Amino acid sequence: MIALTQTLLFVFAVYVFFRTTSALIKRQMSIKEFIFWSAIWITVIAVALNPRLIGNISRRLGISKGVDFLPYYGMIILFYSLYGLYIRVDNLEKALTKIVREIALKNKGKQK
Amino acid sequence: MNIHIIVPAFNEEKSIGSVIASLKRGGYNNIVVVDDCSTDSTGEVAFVTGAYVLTHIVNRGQGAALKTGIDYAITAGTDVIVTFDSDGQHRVEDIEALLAPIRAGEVDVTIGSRFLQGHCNVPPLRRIVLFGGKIFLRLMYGIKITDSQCGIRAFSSRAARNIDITMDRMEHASEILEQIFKKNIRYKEIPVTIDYTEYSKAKGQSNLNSFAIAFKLIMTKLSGG
Repeated sequence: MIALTQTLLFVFAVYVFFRTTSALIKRQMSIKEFIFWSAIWITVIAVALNPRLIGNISRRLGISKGVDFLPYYGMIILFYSLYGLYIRVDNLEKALTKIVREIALKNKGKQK
Repeated sequence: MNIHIIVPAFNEEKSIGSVIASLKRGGYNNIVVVDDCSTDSTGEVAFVTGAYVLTHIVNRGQGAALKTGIDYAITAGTDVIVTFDSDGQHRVEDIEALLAPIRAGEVDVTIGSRFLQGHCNVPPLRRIVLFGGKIFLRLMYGIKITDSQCGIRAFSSRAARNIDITMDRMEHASEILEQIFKKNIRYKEIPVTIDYTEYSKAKGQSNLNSFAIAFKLIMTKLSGG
């Protein structure tokens, strides 16, 4: 019997996977980003369909309890995502500065 | 020698007028104030006092403002660029000491240092923070310097073209040093005196900001910047 949580998780993960695919088709996402996020959501789909999979994966990775898999690897994925976001924001800041500086120089200064 | 004094400014309406006036009394007439989107009348006061005023339409930080001023000075045909703070902490009398080695062709960059004189008037807590910064730069980039954060410096136009400031905020000071070392630009530290007033201490960067600067420098190094 499939639990309600499994169903919701499955539906949500499939929805997000299709959004990810759509973003790739619309060129809103690079291939590298698509592969990264697809791997995560496909894993979530697989776990939703077969929750025992977490236990199998965890044991292969040397984690005795399946429930510990999520915090360990979830944290790594979260930190990597944060790092990627930091780089993006930094690049945006640099681009903004470039624009502001060019406007300042193009507008020429004022002097009495 | 065509000398440009670059004065980045953000909300310094109380001090910018007297800073420009003292620079003019010192005989420096190419004063470029870069108004970093001040919300007070910094730009207007600088204009009325006779500086050439460039304006950022969005606040981007002292590093970005310096780069704007430096780029302008280079296109204006400068021979030497001096960076000078707008809060009244720097002394106009120190500029000549910074210029002399560059005029003589000994070096291309001179950097003010608060720690080369026999006496040092830096507040104790700031001294500890600056010492930590010195150690950090030594470990990160191998930079040996007595004062890594002093904002009064002079560059020959050749050095100014060679140094590319990419960091917008206060990290730019460390970035300038890194480039001087990496590109083997000839430099010399010159003793300077900083006038710490209650106004300038209140306006200056917080000691805690040093952690944010260190974090930014580490992240830039990790991302290959």
